[in-house]
Amino acid sequence: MCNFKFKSGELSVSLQTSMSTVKQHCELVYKHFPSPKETDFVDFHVSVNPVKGYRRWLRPQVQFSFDGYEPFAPLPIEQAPAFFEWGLNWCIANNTNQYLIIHAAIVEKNGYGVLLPGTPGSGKSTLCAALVCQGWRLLSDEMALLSITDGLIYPAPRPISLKNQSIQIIKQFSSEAVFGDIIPDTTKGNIAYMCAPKVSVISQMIPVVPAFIVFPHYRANSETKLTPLAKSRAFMTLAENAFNFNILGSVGFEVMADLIDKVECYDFSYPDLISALNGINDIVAKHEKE
Amino acid sequence: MQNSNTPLIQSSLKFHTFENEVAVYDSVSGKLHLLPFLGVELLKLMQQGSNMCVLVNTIFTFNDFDNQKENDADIEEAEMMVKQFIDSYRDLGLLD
Amino acid sequence: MLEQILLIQFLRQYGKNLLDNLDFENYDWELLIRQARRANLLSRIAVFLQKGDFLEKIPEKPRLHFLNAIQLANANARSAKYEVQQIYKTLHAENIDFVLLKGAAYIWANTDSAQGRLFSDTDIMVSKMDLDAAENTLITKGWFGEIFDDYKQRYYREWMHEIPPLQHLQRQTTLDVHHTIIPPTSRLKPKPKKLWDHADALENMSGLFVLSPVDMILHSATHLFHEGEFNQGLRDISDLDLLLRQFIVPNNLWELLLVRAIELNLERPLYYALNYTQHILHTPIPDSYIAESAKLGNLNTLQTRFMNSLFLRALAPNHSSCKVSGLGIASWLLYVRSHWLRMPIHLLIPHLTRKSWMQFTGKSTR
Repeated sequence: MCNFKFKSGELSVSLQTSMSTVKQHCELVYKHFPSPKETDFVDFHVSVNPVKGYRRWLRPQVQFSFDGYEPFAPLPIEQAPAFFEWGLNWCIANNTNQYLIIHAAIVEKNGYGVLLPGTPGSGKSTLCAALVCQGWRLLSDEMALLSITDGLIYPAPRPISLKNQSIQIIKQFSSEAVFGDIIPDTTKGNIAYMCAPKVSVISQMIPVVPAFIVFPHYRANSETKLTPLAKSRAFMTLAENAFNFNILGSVGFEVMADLIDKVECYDFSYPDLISALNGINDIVAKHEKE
Repeated sequence: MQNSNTPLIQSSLKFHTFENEVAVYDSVSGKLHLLPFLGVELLKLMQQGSNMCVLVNTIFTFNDFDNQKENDADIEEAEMMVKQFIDSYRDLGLLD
Repeated sequence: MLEQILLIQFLRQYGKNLLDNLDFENYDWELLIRQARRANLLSRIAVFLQKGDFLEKIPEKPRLHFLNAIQLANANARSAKYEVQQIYKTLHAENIDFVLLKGAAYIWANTDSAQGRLFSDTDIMVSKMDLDAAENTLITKGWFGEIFDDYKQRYYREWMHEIPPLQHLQRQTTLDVHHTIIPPTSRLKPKPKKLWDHADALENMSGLFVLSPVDMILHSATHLFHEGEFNQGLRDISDLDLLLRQFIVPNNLWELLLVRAIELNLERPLYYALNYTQHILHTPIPDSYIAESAKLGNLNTLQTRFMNSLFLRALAPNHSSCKVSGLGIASWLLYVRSHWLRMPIHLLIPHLTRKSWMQFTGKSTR
């Protein structure tokens, strides 16, 4: 049994696993992450282990446990590393109501936080990975943690999960990106994890001011188009994409309203990765000039 | 036995004003809506228990034609609007 | 064995009003949080700490987990209120009276046991006479049966004290409609009419009731000690502790509680409730009443000693830091016992055989 501990932003994780695949995954993708000290408080004690029982001979499976609680049905054993990442996402989404948790990638450049809320197929993760390869700081590719006390977004960097063709696209885009093995045939298709760059990990305790919300829409053979989005619409869409909006109740409503009041909101459709990157960089550059 | 519930529905509504609309959130039911300004004014008044006369006056003020208050046809139209609002708010679960 | 469990120590200290004696800086919050989360008591202890104004004294990292747990409890209370309002609208329109049970009752009656109480299902009781009408009305208003399996349908309808659970189509919430508090096939036979006669009406909600405080205690005891589900056992013991301290301890109403248990034929669950709340959480219950309830429950020393060995294992938090030897076998014996208590033997054997076969073949997991 191996115990692997790391800190992602403000959150400390302790993982118990007997599986070499999970151990290798963590040693690769969490390589640069600091470990909590022996006396430090650990937020999430989780484990990922093979399911015992007679059926393991027929169809070996893996189970994720949050300190003895198993929120999911077991998965095929090959998916163990992904199960760990998903399980940890679940732990964070359900146990950090000090944040309004928005389903969005969040990256930063020159002090400007850019939220990329993603519907499936919007290209959010691909775009996020490419921005990060270009030197943007990664705060999260899945969950923007918006503090309910100070309105800042707190980093919780983790490896970026890429699916299917996106894996190849990013590998071609950047020769420096480090990837784990491809995990085939998950419910999301083939996935691979790209390591968070070391600089993002080093600055993982520094929150950012959210400045832009950009709703990306990948549309092949279209024109690149940046359209200002009515704040009321952005508010409604973002509320739907917040995991714990109703748990926070009126607090969540107020925090979301404050966020929307102070950021610029855009709809952004793009035909390919390069135009997308140019578009996002332009938003910040234009703002800096003004 | 004490029942801690009664006031909750009323005080649970939160409003946030945008350029052309107002977001209304009911934390008890978890329902979130975007409503027009006038609608929200009327909703607030209805919740305070205002009568039809107050609601109709609000419509007149809002639409800036308060000099025509004497006109029966206008009053009728305003009353109709109020009734439509009440119906749609009931559908949205904002009114009992 | 229980003495060493931090969560139990903490709950006892709360009961004695001694939380301010804690060394807030150096306390093992991490272990407490882990045990409490596993026992579904994290929100409750968070509320205890908040009430005493202790949260600010706790280091930031654990404090955030407590604040988080308070948010969850508040959200749970809000949705429980809304859910009951919706059920009330539906049933009241058809003049069907109903009683709220368990978590929803605590929230609406604002009992001490509502503090940090998390639950997902709403439990109500209607009179047997109204049962069909209630089910039909609910179905027309968006609640649907979740169970389509014929055997399970029959199991509920013939042997259980509730109809198969209903789920609301849009909100995905679960509603359990009971007609009494214990399966009719059980050896214990409390008469629902007696519960209705004592039920308390809620203000401004004609036709909506909660059980009287004494009956709430007896129901909670019966539910815990006769249903065989001990995964939230300590949480239920804490409910009982809070209810006893709120309604019985201040005016020494122990006699009343015993008399009511006799009237409802719930002497044994009462004995277990009194014995284990005192034993585990040090609820201030006079020993004489525990002895009296054991006598009324017809339990001899050998039986109580055997049951002790089972219950005390099953009631510990199911966390890796509190594992007690023999938990597996104790849980299994209690599971079989709960079925034994609610079904005559000629029904029980085929039922359990079928259940284990379904589990073995992977068609069902308990």
